[in-house]
Amino acid sequence: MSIDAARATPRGGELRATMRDWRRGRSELKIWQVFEDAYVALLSTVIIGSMAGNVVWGLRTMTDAACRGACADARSLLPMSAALLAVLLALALARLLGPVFVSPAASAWLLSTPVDRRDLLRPSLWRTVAGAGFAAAALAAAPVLLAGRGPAESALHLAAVAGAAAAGTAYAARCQIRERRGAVRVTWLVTATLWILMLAAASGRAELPPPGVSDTSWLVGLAAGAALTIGLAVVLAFGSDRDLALVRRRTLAETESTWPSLSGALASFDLGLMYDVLLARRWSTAASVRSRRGGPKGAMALVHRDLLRVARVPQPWILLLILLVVPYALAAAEAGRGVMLGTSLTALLVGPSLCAGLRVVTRTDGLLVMLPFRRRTVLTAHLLVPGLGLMAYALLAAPALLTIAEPPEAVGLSVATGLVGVAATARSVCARPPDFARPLVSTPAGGVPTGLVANLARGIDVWLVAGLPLLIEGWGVGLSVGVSVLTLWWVTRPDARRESGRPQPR
Amino acid sequence: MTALLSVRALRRAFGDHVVLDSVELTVEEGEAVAVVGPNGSGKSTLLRCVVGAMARDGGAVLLDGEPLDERSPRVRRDVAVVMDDIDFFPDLSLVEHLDLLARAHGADDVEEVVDDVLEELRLVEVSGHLPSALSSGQRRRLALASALVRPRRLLVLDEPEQRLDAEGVAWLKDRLLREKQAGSGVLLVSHRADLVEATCDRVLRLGEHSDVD
Repeated sequence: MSIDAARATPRGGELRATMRDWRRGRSELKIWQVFEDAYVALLSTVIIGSMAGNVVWGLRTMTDAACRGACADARSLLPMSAALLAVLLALALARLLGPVFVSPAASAWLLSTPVDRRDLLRPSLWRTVAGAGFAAAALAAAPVLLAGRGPAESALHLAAVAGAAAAGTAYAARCQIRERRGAVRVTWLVTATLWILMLAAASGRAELPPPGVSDTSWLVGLAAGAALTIGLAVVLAFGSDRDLALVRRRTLAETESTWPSLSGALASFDLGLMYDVLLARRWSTAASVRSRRGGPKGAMALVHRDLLRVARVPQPWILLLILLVVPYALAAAEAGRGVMLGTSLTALLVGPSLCAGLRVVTRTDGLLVMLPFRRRTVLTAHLLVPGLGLMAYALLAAPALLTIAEPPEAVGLSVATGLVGVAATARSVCARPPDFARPLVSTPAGGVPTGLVANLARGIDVWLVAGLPLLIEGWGVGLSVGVSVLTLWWVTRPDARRESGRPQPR
Repeated sequence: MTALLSVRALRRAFGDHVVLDSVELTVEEGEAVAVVGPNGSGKSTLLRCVVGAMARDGGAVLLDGEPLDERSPRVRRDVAVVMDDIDFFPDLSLVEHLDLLARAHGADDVEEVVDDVLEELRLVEVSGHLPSALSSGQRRRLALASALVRPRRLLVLDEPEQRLDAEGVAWLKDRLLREKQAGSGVLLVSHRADLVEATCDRVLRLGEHSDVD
């Protein structure tokens, strides 16, 4: 009986082929017809890609001409830093999203059958590993190009980056399948290496062979590194592939809803919703916490709760502290007033992860209406702790500005920089999602929901508008402070409501 | 004497479809009023319009004779609302939610009030759980608890019996009666005839023949 049952069980590949046949049978368009319809998007991608490439090439030419001394030393570290950053991102995303995953439908309908799970999961594993490699190489392409290296060296760098990211993803898959924490340790190891590299750049103690020097031994070493990482990726991916049969359903259940949720959020360019999905994912793995009660009353209770959050989730604060090296590395690279842009951008990138409380009270009105305060009071209370943290970060970076300003002025510039970071973070966290209830906006690509495209720029827009004036001496700083304060005033305005279509009759 | 809550000639339409038209309603202190009717008759829409979660096309909603503006801290202090769409902080435990809310409202004896409500709603065992670890019934209890740990004059409840077991519904009846005795007004939407009969003084029927019993 059991032998007959085993014979009757189809292979995963057969099931996939059957489903593919059904889907193809229902499709109404040929693939070339889809491309015909998507020609605007394809053309736009090619044109924007060419423009971006031109910009990067122009920047490289300018840097070739202008970058000397400390700037050249820092520039020599650019490919290595970009490589480590790309690998770090690949590892972090792999740990967050899988990398072995199934859709909720496949989980419900297929994983409960006797079909070999390895057969079912193998294609997505290999796609993810290969995709991580290509994406990492694409991400590192611009920094590697800006480093001013020759074609062979740049290509080897990118191959090494792709291999390392793919290897990291494959290793994360193996850890996920075997329910081990090795990928966490590797993530911290890569983070520490990147930090040390930036510290070395900030203190001027590290440099690689300058661009244009065709040192054969350096190239051979680089080629060996690329071959090693690619080889490692292949070995780890085969290892993970072999282990797939061991994966437990509970392991896959941890991530099976994350992908569809993130896809939905991405389809509407709703970065806030993506943040919510990741926040929920972060906390769904912990069933309970040690409750902390007590504290002040009134609006200060919200501030006190945010302080308790710092103790409960210190990781983003530690990251902010670690990234204090960024302004000093920029200063060592003779970035001048660009240090302020780098500092405020770092604040914007880390800031939203400090604002869990603020995000929850602004994503819906559900909690806001339960509190006996005006909207501005609630938002200001929840912005206080992260805002002070970001201001402290900017102030701790003040010594990096001593190359361009006297101490009192450097402190003033740091305050302005911190305000840019706080305002951009507040805008990023509190911005409204696309409004699908309003009329569509006409664009060359068709009807687009109101606020869909602007949603992609949330936070970055304020960083640019408030941050760029910092590059101008004198009145630029006043303008930047004005824009930041105005943004904070606007973001916390009392009458911002979810349903804003019609005024209430009195 | 001015009613605690007055709804006058309230109207709400979705496109051409008029859901609520000329709805009149009052709730006095110490009185419970139920809104009943078939699915789609506009019960939850009425509550949303009353508490300001949804815009009205016409009419007025008054609290103590003044226009009810949910942005006003005074209104939020007086009106406790439990709708279906309550949100939670993903990183705060059940008891921390209640503690935070009670403190934000400046309640006296916060710890005692929170402990009593946890006991009453049988949530003590899961008080350290995060919202993601709660069952749907426990989430519903948490939503009800959120209205009980804070001072209030008017309770607005949308199908509070939802996802409660028989013991929970019995507790709810008793609790609503105690709310009335304490002088609070109650406005609730419910599909449970026994709950409405046991607790409510008047009933507003929505649907084809809207009237007040």
